[in-house]
Amino acid sequence: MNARIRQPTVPWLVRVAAVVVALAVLVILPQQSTPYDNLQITLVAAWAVVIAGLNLLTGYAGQISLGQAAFFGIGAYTTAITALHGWPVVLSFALAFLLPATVGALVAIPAVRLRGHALAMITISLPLVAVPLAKRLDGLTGGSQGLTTPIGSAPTWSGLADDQWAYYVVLTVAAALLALAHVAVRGRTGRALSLIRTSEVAAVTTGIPVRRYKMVVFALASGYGGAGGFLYVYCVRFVSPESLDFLLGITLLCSLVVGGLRSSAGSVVAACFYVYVPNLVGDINPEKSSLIYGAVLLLVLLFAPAGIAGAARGLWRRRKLLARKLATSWPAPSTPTGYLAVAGSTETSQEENGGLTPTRSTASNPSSKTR
Amino acid sequence: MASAPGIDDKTILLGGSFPLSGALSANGQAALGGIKAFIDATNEAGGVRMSDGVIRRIEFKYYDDGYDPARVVQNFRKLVDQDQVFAYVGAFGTATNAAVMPLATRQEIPQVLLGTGASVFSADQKKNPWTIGWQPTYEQEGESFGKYLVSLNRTLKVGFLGQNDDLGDAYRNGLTEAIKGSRVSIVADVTYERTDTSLDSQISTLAGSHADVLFSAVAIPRLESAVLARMAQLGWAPMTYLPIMSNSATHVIKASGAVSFPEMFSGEFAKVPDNPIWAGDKAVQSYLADMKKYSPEADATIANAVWAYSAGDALVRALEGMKDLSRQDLMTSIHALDYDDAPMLLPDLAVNGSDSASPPIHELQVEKFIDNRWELIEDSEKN
Repeated sequence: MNARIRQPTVPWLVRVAAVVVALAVLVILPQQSTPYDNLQITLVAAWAVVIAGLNLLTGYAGQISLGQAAFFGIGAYTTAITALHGWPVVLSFALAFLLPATVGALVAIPAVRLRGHALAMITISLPLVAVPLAKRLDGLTGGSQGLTTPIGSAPTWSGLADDQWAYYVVLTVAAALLALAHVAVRGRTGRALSLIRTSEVAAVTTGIPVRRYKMVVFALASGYGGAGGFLYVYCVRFVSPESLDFLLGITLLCSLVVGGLRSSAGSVVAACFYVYVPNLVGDINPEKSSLIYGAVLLLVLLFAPAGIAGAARGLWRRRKLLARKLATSWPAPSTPTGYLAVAGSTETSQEENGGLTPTRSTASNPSSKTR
Repeated sequence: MASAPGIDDKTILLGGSFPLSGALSANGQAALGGIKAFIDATNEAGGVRMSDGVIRRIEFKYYDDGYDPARVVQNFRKLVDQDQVFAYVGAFGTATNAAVMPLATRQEIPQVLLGTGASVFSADQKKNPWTIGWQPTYEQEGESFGKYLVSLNRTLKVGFLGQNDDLGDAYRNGLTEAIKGSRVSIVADVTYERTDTSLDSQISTLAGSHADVLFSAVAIPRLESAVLARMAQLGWAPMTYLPIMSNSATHVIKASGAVSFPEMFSGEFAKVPDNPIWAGDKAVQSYLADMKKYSPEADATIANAVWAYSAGDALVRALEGMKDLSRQDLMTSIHALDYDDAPMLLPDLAVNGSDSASPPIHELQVEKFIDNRWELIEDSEKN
């Protein structure tokens, strides 16, 4: 029964192999590539964490949030300010995670009573408050000129350039956080969240503490936003009110949908989309970049409504069907008539073949009609 | 002579980043259009004759940053690492340039002639020797009008209205500095938020202070219109200062729909192409012709285009003045700029790069709104 509920996915061997290859490439890459390429990959890792947080909340728990930019901003400013005051990096990171998580938990107290669009409306107000606040507290935040911060320099023993150092640190932390998020939504928690997402009433009747779950996920998602802010500042070394523009919250949600909801790989794909697509379309035509970006966004949603990761998973799941389609589109040299005859002869085998064989057998084997 | 990346025998490759999408895209487009128009016109006229006797064309590479600091950092890296530009020139924006400044300092890449009025880019050139702004700062704008008030030699009470952030602070600091120890004093100081939709209560408070002068440092043109409308409603008409970014005769003054106006002042350092007083001006005509020919997509009447165009001229002069072809030499050459015939700059102003705490243009002229147009105050008083 359990096996039937679980969606068929890519076999674990293929997954492990893919992850190992990807890791090997990622470890060697910064030695070969330019600081520009390293910065982009580092940014992808930072944004993947922010989006993974949003994925927990919106993807798994089904709570639409447009406020992730605010938590990202709290994390980013916390990092910049603590680094300027000479805090150890580990403490900066801890605070960049805990502070937004706490704020997230506080916001969640009223917010978990709301659902769907109401929650989206509440959360959109967060960046709307955060941006003027960041400008106004200019003693702390540097106002609209932002904060430049001395973080992310490579220690001399490492023998690495700054961009390489930031790359390794950010990617390692991001990988750990993504793995944690991946594990967090398996098993019992995952099932509870999925029930909350599909039917809160059913979740309540089965004894799931819905509000507590929602609050924890909201806090965790905010913490991830803040941690992503830390990683962002670690490689960009700058934060300003423009970094947490309220459009960012919407763009992040769009990217998540494009990447694929409820998928760890989807968060990474989403981050790639967020970082690379504007730059790529900027190369094509800098004046029309946002127009082309919008067109790409529409195309992805039209042709892959489950997101890029969802589409890839779907293709993998249907690979046998697709292979068969491809095979039948060619005139087969020798039709296995014996198989068709057997398939058409018993009821059970018809069912097992999902109703596909009877049609084919009737078409190619007229004898079954007269049975 | 070993030359830096981006320079060969035929071309000089320069780069910049502009918000070509998003809320500031019209300004970004204008700033890009301005500098591009001057560069293209220079190329068409042959190019830049440099000290080694070679004439080179300027190639200008640019990317859209959507006013996002993370994207501007990527663009800077791309321009420097991948495209191998010689220098980063004319880039628009305060936050976006602030994000790049530490990189420019560390990588020793000139980040010059920037389209921003923040003082931070020119204030500490020992700490950031590779960065310099272009236009006067907000402080210097506040200071210019403060000095004008002092020169009137009267006892004046000033009401100050500014944005509740570092931009408002910059205006306030400049004004306060200029009136220190004079008969001019600030009697009311009120702020607004960028998100405010009406400034009615602020204006009522200021009117209640019976100030003789209103320094209305409202950076959002729409809100400045609302200020003028409210003043007309209240019948309060002190001398009123409109800042350079909210002084458009069409978009601010006319758009307010007010039936009566106070005596209005503003500051300017460049010629405003759609101001009738410059209609016959040669510099304005060739500016408009260049903009139409090379940057038809940009709005030539947006001030950012004018400022960037004159920055393009400064760039060409600086390149011509270089002794060798190093990046350091470009900085030296910019700091040696000293001329008073910049295209589009107001007649009495000069470009001078030698001040190590100030951008090359560091003064404004006060102007007064007379007969539906801005007139420079020296001229109108001479008349």
